Amino acid sequence: MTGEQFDDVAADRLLDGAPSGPPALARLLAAASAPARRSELAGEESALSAFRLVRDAAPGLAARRPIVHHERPRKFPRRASVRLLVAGGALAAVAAAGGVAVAAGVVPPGPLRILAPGQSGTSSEHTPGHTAGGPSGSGAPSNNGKGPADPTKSNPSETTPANVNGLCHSFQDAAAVDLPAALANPHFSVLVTLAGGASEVQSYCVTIIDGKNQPVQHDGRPTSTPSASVTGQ
Amino acid sequence: MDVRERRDKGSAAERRPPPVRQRRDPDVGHYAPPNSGTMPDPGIDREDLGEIVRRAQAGDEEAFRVVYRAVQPGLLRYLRVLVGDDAEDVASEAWGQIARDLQSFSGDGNGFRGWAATIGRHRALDHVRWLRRRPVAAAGIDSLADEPGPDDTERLALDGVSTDRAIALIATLPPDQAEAVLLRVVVGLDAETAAGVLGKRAGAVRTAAHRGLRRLAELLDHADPQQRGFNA
Repeated sequence: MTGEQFDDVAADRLLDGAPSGPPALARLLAAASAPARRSELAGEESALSAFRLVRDAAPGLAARRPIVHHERPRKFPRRASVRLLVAGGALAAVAAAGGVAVAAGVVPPGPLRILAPGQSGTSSEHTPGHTAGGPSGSGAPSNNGKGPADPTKSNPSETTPANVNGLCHSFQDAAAVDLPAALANPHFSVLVTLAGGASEVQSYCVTIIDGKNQPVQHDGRPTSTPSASVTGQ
Repeated sequence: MDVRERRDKGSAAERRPPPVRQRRDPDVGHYAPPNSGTMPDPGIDREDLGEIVRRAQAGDEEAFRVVYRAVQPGLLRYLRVLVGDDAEDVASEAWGQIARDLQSFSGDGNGFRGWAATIGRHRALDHVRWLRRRPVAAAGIDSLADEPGPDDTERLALDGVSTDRAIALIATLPPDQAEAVLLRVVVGLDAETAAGVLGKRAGAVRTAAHRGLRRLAELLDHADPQQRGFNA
């Protein structure tokens, strides 16, 4: 079959997932959307680590404060930072709830913030001001393009949660004795993730302790409206 | 036709697959049962995904895992076309942002896929001007021609290599067509949501997707016998 031999209806059906049009094309689309391969899910633990980090940090931190790593990837070689994030995740996994305990130990102590599946709402109260960020279920194309961009540039002036500050103080104390050991300490893996890499932790903490909540402003980055440069095609 | 009506009139929330739908929801992989190379079927459909997202928003880690497994493969393949070998890294960043901003999302499963795709796209565009640099595209056809494909359709759909080859072939399309096809077919978005991700009107995305499909059909039609992986 040739490309001319299927019409818009057939094309729409293909796009909707129904077999239609030239068989070879249908097979190609089937292959393109085949079930996940394990290699494609290699980042699962890293993603879960990020999820836990956000969830288990203070609720205010969870909802308000961006993970700095994701705001400034260019400050640090990407692959390295990703590896570190993965490493941080592995460490966090080793430490299990320890990571939470660390945060809780530095901040006003409280129960471990591990939510039962049905237990809801702890952090939704701290939903950031950009609640319209995500597209609604009805598509909302007009919102869609800028939804995720809003959180990126949303709250540059949020205060830094006290637990990060305290953790940074602890880190600096430890780093003064033995920096590599401090960086390797799973207790500080959260800082590695937040800072965007081990090499960034020191400057990150200096900035945090100095009271500047964001070591690097990301306002100037093109993240917010990148689509204009591409959609013209 | 019902397909068009569904596309044009239904909201994403109400849009259910027709009973005759045979193809994937990418969550589920309707094409064929999973084999050793694929992940276990998470057993969710589009509507369920929205519910699982809500559980993740409430703090359920396992729910987030299910969401990841449902969304990541399509997202990663999409990003592969945008940023080539950096797709894993960009996807990792995207998931960090998804985790961070999860509370800000509201919508159904389709909406979540669109939200995730938008985040991934922004991270990708932030990463590289992909119009100038599409490493997958150049290698796509060559590698496609290198391997004789199996003529067994089921195997083809399950074969990871052929998935890569399929993505590589799609990556040879003009960017707007490639994105439209990927978002619709691989990420699994409906037309409106795909348009939202791209910041375009649904009609423009539909046109681009149709052109892309026709171009792919032509490529397959004119492929030499070694590319018969998709020609059966």
